[in-house]
Amino acid sequence: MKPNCSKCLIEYKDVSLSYGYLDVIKHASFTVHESDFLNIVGPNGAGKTTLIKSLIHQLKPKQGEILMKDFKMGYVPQKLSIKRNMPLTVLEFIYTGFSNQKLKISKLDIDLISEWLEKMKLEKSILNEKINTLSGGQLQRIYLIRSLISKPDVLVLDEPASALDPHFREYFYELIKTLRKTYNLTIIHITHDLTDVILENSLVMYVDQEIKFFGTYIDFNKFEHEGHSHD
Amino acid sequence: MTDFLMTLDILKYGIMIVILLGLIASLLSPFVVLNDQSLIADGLSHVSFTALVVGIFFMDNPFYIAIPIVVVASIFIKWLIKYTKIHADSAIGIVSSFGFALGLILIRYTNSSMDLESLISGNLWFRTLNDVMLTLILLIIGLVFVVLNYRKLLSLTFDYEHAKFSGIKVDLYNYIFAALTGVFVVIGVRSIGVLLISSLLILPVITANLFAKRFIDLLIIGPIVSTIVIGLGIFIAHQLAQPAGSIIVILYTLVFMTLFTINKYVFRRHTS
Repeated sequence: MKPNCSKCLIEYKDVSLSYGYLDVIKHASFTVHESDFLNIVGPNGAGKTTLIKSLIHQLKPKQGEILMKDFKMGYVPQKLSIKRNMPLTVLEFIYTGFSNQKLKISKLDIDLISEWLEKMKLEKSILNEKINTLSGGQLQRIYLIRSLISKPDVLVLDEPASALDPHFREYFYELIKTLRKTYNLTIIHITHDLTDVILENSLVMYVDQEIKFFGTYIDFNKFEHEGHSHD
Repeated sequence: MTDFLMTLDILKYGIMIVILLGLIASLLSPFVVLNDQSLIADGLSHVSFTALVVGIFFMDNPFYIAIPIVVVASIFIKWLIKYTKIHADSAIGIVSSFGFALGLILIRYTNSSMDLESLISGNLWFRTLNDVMLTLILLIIGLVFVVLNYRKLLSLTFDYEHAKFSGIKVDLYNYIFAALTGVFVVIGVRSIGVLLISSLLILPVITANLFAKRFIDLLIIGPIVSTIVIGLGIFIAHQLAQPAGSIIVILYTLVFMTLFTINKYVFRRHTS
């Protein structure tokens, strides 16, 4: 099923999510429109990542409906789990993000990957490194490249900046801002820290088991000042 | 030497089969072992024992009945892992011991006495050209499957959730792969034996992994090492008048340990 309105990409209708008997999200209803920048915030264990899991089809709703248009999605998980015992180069890894993968990686595709490495301030020589030798920050950036390389319409980021140093973090959000403009990207972004996010024209969802707030950042500020408790 | 050549002539089909089996195993090896299912061949070989016993009830060549039974068992293991969320090793353990237990009961009702020793340690002697062709066909099917779906299998092995997210039919590939593994085990058990078959599946990837930088290296180094070790193993087995299967496994393990030591103390010294 697809959402009704023309600019709507994703629509949650009274969605409840649970692991077995444990209810994590209750009665969530919201809509994401084209080129929205939605920040999902909330305390630890509030169900932010669970909400994302339902979005990327890893978790089926216990109740309610999730309506989505056909679009390409890029996703960077919170836990960057890599198999330590599996040899895999950065090139082989990033290539898993391409939508049309060939047995032999073409020169054109390698050039495209190199461009992205440059954008992410990584050396080209990293391509032939094994990914289990990378640092946390490097790994996070190649995960980002993998999610962006096939030009998604919607980008889902689960705490993407957690392993980045403050300097690169700032650069990273500037980059996201540019990408958003260039590709008309819709972004759904989970974060703990709203301070370094591009806040102009962005939306905020405050989740704690249920959606406590959904609106613009300016309104969110008022909501915060009026007081809600982190209980 | 003439004596060796004569034996070589008698054993030629057996030898061809083991080398082909080695190639199939090193092709499947990375995807099986890196998915934490190293012992699947061991588990399935126990099921093939039962499957062969069941086969004996119906025909002289129980082999053709054993193949579908083991394929179903192999797919069932994958299904069990997915739906009950138990670990791969537990699922393999359950299916394998259940299968073996059933076989031990059933074997009491068969008239023909099964040659248990040759089932355990394998037999290269009575292989025919037909058996060679069958093994070759499996190798070709396996090769075509892996080459055509290489990127998908890589993605699936590295990160199951991402593979699923990117639209790969993960379950379908898992089940096809399980079926291939099942056929490999049944064919392999006759020549290598129930207890030794899993080493052919495990050793290529862990040996290749000592030197591999890229994933593809596993599929290049594995088959080369396997072919050399198997060839050498058969030769040594003949010289020592010992069963080829056992010698191959012992030799392979020694080769792995030697390469591991060389890799650790010689190559790494310069880099660290």
